[in-house]
Amino acid sequence: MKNITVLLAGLFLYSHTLFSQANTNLTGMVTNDQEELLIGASVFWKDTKQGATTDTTGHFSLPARNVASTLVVHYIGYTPAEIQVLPGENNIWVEVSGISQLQQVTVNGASFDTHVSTLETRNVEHISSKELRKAPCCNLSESFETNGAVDVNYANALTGVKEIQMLGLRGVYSQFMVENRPTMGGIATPFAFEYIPGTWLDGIQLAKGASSVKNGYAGITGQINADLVKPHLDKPLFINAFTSTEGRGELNVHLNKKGKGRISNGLLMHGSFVENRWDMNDDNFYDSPSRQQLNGLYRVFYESPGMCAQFNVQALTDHRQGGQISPIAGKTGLFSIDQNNDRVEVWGKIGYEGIGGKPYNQIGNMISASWHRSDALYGPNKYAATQKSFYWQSLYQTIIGTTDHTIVIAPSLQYDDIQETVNEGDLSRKETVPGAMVEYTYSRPNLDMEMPDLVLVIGARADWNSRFERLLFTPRMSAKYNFSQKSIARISVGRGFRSPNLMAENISLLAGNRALDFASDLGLEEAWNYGLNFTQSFKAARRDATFSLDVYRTDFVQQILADVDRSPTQVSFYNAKGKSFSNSILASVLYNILPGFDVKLSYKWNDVRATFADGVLRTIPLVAKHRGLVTLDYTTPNKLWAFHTRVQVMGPQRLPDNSQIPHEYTHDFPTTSPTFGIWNAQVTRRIGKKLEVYIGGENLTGFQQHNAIIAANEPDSPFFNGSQVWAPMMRQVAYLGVRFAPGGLQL
Amino acid sequence: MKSIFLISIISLFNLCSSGNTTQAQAGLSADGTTMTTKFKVFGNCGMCKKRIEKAAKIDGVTAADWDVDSKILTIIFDETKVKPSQVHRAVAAVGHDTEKVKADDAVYANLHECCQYERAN
Repeated sequence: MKNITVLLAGLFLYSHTLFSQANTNLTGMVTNDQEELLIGASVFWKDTKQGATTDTTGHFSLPARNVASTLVVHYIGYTPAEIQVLPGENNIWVEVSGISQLQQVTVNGASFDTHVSTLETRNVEHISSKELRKAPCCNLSESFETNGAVDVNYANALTGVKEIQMLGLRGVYSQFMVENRPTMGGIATPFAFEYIPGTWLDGIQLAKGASSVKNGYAGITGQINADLVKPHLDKPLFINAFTSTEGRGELNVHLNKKGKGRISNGLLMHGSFVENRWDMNDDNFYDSPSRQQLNGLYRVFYESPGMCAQFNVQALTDHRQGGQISPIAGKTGLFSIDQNNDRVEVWGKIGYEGIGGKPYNQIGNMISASWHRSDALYGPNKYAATQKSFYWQSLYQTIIGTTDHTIVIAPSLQYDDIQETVNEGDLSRKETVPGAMVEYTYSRPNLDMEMPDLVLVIGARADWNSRFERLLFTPRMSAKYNFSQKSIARISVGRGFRSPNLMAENISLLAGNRALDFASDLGLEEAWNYGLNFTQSFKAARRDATFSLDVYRTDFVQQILADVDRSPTQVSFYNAKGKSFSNSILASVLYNILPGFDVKLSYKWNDVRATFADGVLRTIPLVAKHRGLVTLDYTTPNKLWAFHTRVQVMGPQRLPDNSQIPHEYTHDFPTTSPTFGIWNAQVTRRIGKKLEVYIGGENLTGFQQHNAIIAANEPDSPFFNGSQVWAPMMRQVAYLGVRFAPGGLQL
Repeated sequence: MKSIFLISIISLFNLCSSGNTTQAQAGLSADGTTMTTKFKVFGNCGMCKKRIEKAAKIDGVTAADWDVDSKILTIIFDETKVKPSQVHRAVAAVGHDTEKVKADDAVYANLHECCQYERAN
């Protein structure tokens, strides 16, 4: 292992001595009395200011003393521990006790199912699996519906593809990862979130703004990381069945076997269909396509002291059919939609800890390979694409001197081979991106606060992009400062790039007759993101509350605009002609108003504008400037009943300029959408320890966009277009589901 | 709030399983995986010292030293083979309360008269 250390260190021009400075250091680790490692515990020599904080694996390192001295360990909620260390003693295991206190605090402190950590440097919102159970959450894109940070747009009227927005910008500007591994890029982009079934999710982390450079130069507005259930921690058998009046049926089965030795196996299976025969707005087009998806993931985990590894295979097939219901008198044939996706992905990870005899030295390797095929017919348009991708990353983490200073270095390689054709046009391309990153973290322990009060992360990466033949330098930094344990300010600044996949990302435009016009000078997109966050926890009438304020600005250096205003029969893609930015402010309050009763209010303000070809700085269409979300959650004290309800309010959205379209095609299409609210509710009833039944309704007030397709009565017309959707097309939808685990649901 | 820290920070550096790695990673350490820990064991005399140290040297513990005055037991152990809690239990099994595990009353009653240390309650 030592050889690898030296090799890697040499590779990155860090002299090996950097890693061996710790000779005169005392190392050790901190656990609670359940022998679980504690992260962020303060460790210091008694009556001195000399100390360190335990790292992400619970280990610490600080300068050793040459006389017998007392080491003090503080961790919030635990009785401080003191241990006498004699000269020459090393690798100290310190245990802090006070579990009864911990349990008490868990009940109080963790009552919010979505939270912003008070310890993390970056502004990361954690959505727990408990939060995900408050809505049917059949897949990842739907799981954001209870969340104020990510907005889910209404599905395209013809293709049913839903898009998300983060910080006011399209989802493609954020980076999608599964367990910290970038995935489902390229041609898979429009469907990515629908390929992670909701029950597979163990939690989601939303990192807003400039985040870590570990995972590449992408992620201008942030990172969305989905954590999946692990075979050694998930229930041995779990079954979820779901049905809705939309004609949707879904079955999820998890099988997990914790091996006798160190090996665990898991099989996650998903099957779903939507047999949609609805045309609730009477436009002779199905409101959303019928769908069939089969999806499976097999996982093998191996864990032993100092080493852990995993291997995964995911395979899926997805078919959708929709479009026109019956031919128009005098015409033959239908404008029908047929989309097929097939995907196989294989990935593995292997990690070592304690390299070179130092517990804080860690190496992590990940490798993945995927194959994705996407074939589609949108009326007369034919799309066919195949993508082969490969990704490799090797992370090395160590400390400089003490665990207050940690450093991560990682080389990586991304390779994509995309064969893509639209009708007769060939858009095939290859992209190879070798790169390397380095990230330094400083934490200043604060003994009074029993946590680091200042954390600073500075990182940078350099990548070569073969498709655009550019060397990309991506610097990013973030800092956190605790005024007190309950009051935190965060700041982040960083640059990001994006390699566009214009056809795949705008696939829904093919379901229309607009001509697509691409400028010849389209290259990488580039932007800087600046963010501020302030989080304050407090008591109101002796109950817990949290207030959080986010202020973000994304400033594009280069942005590709899809201009849908210039001509109603054409979509032009070109580089913004001047200023192009997004300002986004999110304020939210969470309040545990009564035991078991949480209220969340959030308000978001988005100002997203760009300079179009005519030189005018204009608001991007279909982005609401004001959005509000109110959620109420109540769980009875015996935990047998849970009630969840939420109301989302959407402010006016500018619609593309339809003034040149003959009125017979647009009907009553407005220029600005009205303000409206959508109300959803769900009741969950637990029956025994093994079974849970949930019933709910979406869009209870039945608000609906009546005309979503322009020229719906004439699909041959050059104006035919289903992309101007600003509200649901479906009225009330009711659903019913069960969750069953013979070994207990562990709510 | 504490539990939140436990959960949220783990994902910073994901070697393998992201999230929930606390338990899985507990007890990982260096080359030797040799660690030192200390905890209080109640006892009185030299006879107690012998009994405690002998009991503590279960498989995986390479050295055990109990100090009569401070009542502190120091053990050096291979953490891939043994966890401190097992040593607590082993010591309690021969009649000596530790700061974490209380010995069975019957076993305590059988201790030699001079070893009948004063129990906490």
